[in-house]
Amino acid sequence: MIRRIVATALAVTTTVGLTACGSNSSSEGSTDAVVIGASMMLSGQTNLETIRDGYQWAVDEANAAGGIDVGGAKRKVTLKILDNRGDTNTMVQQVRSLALQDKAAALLGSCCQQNIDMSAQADSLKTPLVMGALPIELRPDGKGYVWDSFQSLVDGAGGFFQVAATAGTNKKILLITNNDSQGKSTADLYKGLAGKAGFTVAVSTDAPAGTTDYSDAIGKAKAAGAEVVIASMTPPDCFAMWKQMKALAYTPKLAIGLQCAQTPGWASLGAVGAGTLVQMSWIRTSGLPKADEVVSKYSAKYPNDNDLSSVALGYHEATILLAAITKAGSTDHEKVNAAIGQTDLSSALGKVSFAGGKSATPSFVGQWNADGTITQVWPKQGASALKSLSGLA
Amino acid sequence: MSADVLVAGLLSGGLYALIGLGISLVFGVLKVMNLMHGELVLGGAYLAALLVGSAGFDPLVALPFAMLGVALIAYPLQRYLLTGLLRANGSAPMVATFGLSLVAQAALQAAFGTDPRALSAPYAQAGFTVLGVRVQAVYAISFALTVVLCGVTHLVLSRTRAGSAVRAAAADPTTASMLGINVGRVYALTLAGSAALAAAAGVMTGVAQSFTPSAGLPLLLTGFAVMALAGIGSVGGVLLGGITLGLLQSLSTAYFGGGWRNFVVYTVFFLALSFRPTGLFRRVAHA
Repeated sequence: MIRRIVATALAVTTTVGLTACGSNSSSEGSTDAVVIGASMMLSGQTNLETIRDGYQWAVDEANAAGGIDVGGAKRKVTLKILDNRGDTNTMVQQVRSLALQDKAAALLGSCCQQNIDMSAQADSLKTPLVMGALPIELRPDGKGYVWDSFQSLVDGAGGFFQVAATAGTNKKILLITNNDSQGKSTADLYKGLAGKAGFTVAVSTDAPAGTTDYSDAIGKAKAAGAEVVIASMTPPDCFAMWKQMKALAYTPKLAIGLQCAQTPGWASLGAVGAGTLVQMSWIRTSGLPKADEVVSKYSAKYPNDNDLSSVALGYHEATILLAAITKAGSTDHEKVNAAIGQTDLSSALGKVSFAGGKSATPSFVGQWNADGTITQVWPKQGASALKSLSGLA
Repeated sequence: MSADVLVAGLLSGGLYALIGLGISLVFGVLKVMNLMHGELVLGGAYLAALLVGSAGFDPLVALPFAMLGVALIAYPLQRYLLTGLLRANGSAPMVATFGLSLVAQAALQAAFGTDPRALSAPYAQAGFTVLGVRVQAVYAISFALTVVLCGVTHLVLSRTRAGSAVRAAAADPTTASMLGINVGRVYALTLAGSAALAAAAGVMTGVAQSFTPSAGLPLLLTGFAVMALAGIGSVGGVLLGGITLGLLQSLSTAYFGGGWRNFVVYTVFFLALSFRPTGLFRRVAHA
């Protein structure tokens, strides 16, 4: 009897599993809601609720208009978001579940390293994945199901050197990064571009994440007379270093916090953080489509432009995907994937047109003010004049 | 290598010692690895952040309140949860403190978000020059505070009746209990005292550096390293252990580069443990 029950259960499970695997995507030709899915870090060390809000905004907007047009029929959109708590194994399971059980037409991304990890899953499941929050140079080549619309590291670095050229420094750089792969690739990029921009890397060093004593690097930078600081580190590391630079009377004329100043928490540094430059993919003065709406809808919840840029990013990703489903006229994975590749639209982060699965969005350079706000200083359109690095003066 | 680097390492060692003092105290008395020590440190930082943000306190003024607040949280945890587990199963409290650390981390994330924070104070980024050596004021303050708290802890343990009870409970809880010492209360007071010391370390960490809800693990590892170098139950040794760790970090960075810092520090750490399993400074100073 027990054997029979087990055998029946196995048969049912196998049948359901095969059915799920065999089914390409959700409800082809039906009027059911179109499901799009995302596995994101919503608790744990990182909380991507800003990007989630952007996803939800785009979906709510589409549903308020009666849904999206899929093959001549209006269909509502269901956004299914799962919290993977930053755990890769959980993310993998959730992505499989979204694609196979929920029959999501396509997936939206998470952030950073998790987007890289998710890319392999999307490729293996042959399910389109639209993501941002990963510089386009870092997107894995994969098998053609991953679409990254975000800023380019090279463009961002180029923007920084354009700003730095106007800052009246001696063009000697202290370059300090974390000693992980991201830090090393950033160091290589900036070393390469510094020479072309007429700058000299006077001191180059790295440190493991969690370092709190930078007196050695600061001492060498002082001795070398480096007036430009480029730091690519985790936020806590930069916090410690910025305080130490001030206390040890190191007074560079220009400083940028790559990665580390891209957090609203930078404001808690107070006056020390004022004048520090930060790379951004969106800023309220950017003139990008929907910029005013991002501010009016979300600035009460997220006062800082760093957070608002993530909301804009989420909206941007979801808009690309919804437009592609309409263009495909289907929720079939292959058709949606092909349609994403033909995207030609302008959304919250600017124009989108994929080449090799990548579409670079504009880069901006902002400058932190003592009151915790950020002012755009590059590019020229929408920018204010560069101020001095008052926090470290 | 400049004298600035050497002094920075020495003074940052003071903060490391303060982080390690509480964890050493608990292990010395309760024989329990307190895996929520990092979260107790963070508890002090976040309580101080509340007082600094809402009441406009200077972090040093907020420090005693943060110490008291975290101690008041720790006392009932030990009294009504961990001591019972300790009596039932020797390893259960360690597992329980790990669980509590996860609970605390989730609570801090829910209450304060995940963005890093720092405690603002004029001395956070101030410095002064002594004999041509540039000194970061906040680390000088931390070092002085650590010396004071190490001294107070040593005096309490060695010169007071409460300290005698703690030492008796640590040496032989059964006999201590037969002599009329309320061992459960002693244990709870020990964890509360340890939590207060951790909170003090948290406030100074918040001023000198920054903190996030998930920063507990590196703080815990720092505490373990200090305790292992110091030797169990050695208050003076904790100070020396912290200083050794700070100097090791600075010297290894200066001579080998930042990328080798952890390798050098933990190689020395394991060598020290291999040759002196009871700690480098066990014989130097006993509580």
